[in-house]
Amino acid sequence: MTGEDPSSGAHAEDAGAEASRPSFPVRFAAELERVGGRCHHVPDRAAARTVVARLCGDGTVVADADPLVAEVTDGLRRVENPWEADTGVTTALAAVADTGSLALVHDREHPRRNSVVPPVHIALVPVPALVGSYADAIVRLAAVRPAPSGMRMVTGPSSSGDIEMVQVRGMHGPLALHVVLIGAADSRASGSGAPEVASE
Amino acid sequence: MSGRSIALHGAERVPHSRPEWAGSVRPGHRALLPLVTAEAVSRPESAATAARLTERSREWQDGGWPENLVPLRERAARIRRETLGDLESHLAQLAAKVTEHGGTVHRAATAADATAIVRRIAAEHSVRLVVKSKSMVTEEIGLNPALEADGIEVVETDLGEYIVQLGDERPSHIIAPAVHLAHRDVAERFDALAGERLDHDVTALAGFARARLREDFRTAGLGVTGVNFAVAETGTLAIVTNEGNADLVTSQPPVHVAIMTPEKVVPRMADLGVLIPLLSHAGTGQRMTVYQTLVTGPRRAGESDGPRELHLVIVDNGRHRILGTRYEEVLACIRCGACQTACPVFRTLGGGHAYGAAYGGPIGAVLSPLLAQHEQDRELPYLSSLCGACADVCPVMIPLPDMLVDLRADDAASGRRMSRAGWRAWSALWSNRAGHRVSLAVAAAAARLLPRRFLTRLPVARRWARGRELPDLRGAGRLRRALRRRHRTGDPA
Amino acid sequence: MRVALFTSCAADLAAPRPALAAVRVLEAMGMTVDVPGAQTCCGQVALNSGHREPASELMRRWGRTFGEYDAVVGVSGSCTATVHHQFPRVLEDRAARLAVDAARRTWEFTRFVAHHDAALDLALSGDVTWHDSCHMLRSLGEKAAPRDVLGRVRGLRVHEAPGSEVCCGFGGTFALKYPELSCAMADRKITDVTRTDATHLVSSDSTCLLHLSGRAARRRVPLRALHVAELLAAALPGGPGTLEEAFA
Repeated sequence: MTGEDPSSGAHAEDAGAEASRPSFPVRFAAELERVGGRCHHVPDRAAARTVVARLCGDGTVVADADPLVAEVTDGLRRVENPWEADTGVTTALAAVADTGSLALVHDREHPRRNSVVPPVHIALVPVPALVGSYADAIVRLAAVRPAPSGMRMVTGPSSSGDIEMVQVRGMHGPLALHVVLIGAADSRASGSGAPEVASE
Repeated sequence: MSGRSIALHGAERVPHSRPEWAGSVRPGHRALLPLVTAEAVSRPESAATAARLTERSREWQDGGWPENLVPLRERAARIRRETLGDLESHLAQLAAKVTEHGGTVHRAATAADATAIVRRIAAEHSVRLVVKSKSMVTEEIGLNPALEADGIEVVETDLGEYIVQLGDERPSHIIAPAVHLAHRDVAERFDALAGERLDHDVTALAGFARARLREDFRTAGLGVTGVNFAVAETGTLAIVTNEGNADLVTSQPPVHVAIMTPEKVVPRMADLGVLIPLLSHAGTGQRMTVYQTLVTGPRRAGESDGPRELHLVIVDNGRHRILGTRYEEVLACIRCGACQTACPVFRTLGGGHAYGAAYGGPIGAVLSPLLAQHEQDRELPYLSSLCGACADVCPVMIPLPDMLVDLRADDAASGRRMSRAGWRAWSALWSNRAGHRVSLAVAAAAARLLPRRFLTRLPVARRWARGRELPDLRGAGRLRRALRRRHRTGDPA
Repeated sequence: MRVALFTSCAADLAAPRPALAAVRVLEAMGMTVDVPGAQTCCGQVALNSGHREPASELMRRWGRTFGEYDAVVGVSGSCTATVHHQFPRVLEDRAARLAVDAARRTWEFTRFVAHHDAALDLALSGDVTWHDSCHMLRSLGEKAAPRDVLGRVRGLRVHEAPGSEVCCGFGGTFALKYPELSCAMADRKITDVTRTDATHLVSSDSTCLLHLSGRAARRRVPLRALHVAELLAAALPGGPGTLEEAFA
């Protein structure tokens, strides 16, 4: 990965360079893995279901009350209490190609705890939800109406650097993070729209 | 109603092996800084801490700012300053939005006012256990001791804060509270807490803390967090962590109290897209920290988690006196701790404890005396070699070294007549050619005639000679003589 | 070209050699060098100790002393940085314009050499490491010029120390206020330097060097410190040829 961030004020001449960069799914996967997450890119919901079933095994699962999640988690061992669940399965509003981040929105169907209490978090992300930069994702969150009471940006599994300033993975939040990216790779071009935050 | 802490069960077994000036409650009076710093430097732990911080500093900070962050840094500096220029209207907008979303906003002028508000909220809900996500302002206002005085248990859930809480210490670094401790020290604390020998692998120790703290998130009656940024246009509070503890603290307990100082406000949501990547890079060398928890009001009807009540406490504690002065920019600080990691003085002291204030390092040496909570903080601006490394790494370009120099001038102007007279006399002497020449001759004569033992007892020389051989002052004035001779004869120097 | 040499008070008190060496180097470059006898101190020590009035008195005097020159060359990176950065900050009145104007024409020694030397023939074999003094590095932003200049000396090998940019702990009156802390900072620097293959530590600030060599002498660590002007003067034609011989 180049480490370049379109939010940092793309110049006109960067447009060509942007076009030659890897696609959003490829960049997202690389960035997520760099921070200790796993990306599973699948063509459709059926394939997503297979991946999620493999990841959950016969463990217990809490899941968002969401049609996509319901379809993909169908048949798994569901529980209601997240503190008793091995895995939480959620959706995400957006995911960031440049940083491997997820943008989560909490409401009645998407409680805060599903993505933070169980030791494993699986997020289902349709490819069109990918955006280029972190700033783009913040703009997406800001546009949600009505403004949700809770939102969260997540970049990798929880971690702490508090013992000798060395990052270890697995602290209070999930110890493992899987993102199942659903949809064809070319369903969205790599170039993002105008980077709203950066343009002045 | 709430339960009692599992995380602190056995905490009385953890020995408190720290110097007095590192204690969790800031002592009302501490020894003078030259004494404290000498003691800090002599502790073997300090050298180990310095080595760790230096290594991180090289990893994260060497090579300067990544190209993609340079424009972000300039924008962040501008956003922060523009906000300060119209702080009150941003705060009014923030308060209106938080209220609109069902939160309650409290304004507190002083630390005592702020702690009184939190105590009242805790009392109203019969809270016995509070879980906290890391917050420097609660250190500044002394929230934990205030709640504990009411018989409430307060549990720090950030791993580093939990470690220092067990040892009855203050955090030693803004974002790495336990940076002064080695892996072995943490293992010893956790062994004592558990009453048995644990697996000392770092991941296992983190796992022990995770397991210990987990139940407390569920049973606490109140969750307390700081605020990294508060968005005026939406009333959204942004809390930045790696551990995910803020997500639990703001979602599990029935009441959430968020505490911030006025300058944490930012105008727009979009500003987070600029500030958070910078905070991540500057603080821990990460591209992004793991979690940014965005709270907009308490839980809504039908939601199954999130607090039923949200209180936002905005505590000024001296900030209004800084606004509009030449030090206003210090309020642009986003508490990344980069200036601390970069500071060779902070590193050599083994972290921030020796500064004796809530905030150590360059930012603390500027901010603490301005907050004027303690008379002794007036000493802090002198605790710097003015090397400027802090300004290089500051994500919002605060001119900390210049402020240190200016604070010294303010301090000198307001006290110590003797020293002022001495500097004036010296400047008068050296503003005069004959005076300059005479002073050099006196220095040379003293160096030639006086025995070394006597020389090293002279006021300035004595302090130099603590650890260093004196420079050879016998040559004072030699340069001028050599140049005059050269001028006369045309000889090479 | 006529230049004025700004020697700094360290040269008057305890380190005359770098200033004399700087005169030789500048003359070898074809410059006419004046060393104004009226110069005393740039005011940095007073300013950084919190005494603005005495400092600005000395700053104004500096302006009167150097005001008439087309170019001023400072032997100390730190004092040159004071002239550049602090004069405009501290001197606010009209009478101060002379000093601020002169400050704009003031060069740090290695920067001046790097920009004006076309024909200097420099040779000196040996191994050195460079200490970036803080104000020269951060206030003047000068990291390249000393390395450039040292790179022109035939036979000289420059070994970068890992902490070359880290403060040595001098810091003016800081060194006196907090001697233990200041010395502990020096120790880290000395350790970094002694781990390189260099036999000599070179810098552009005599005060850092006095602090470091004073500390090394107390600890009986064989650290040999010299000012870059001394090194360049020894590298002029007819010099001893090796660093060891020049600075035994």
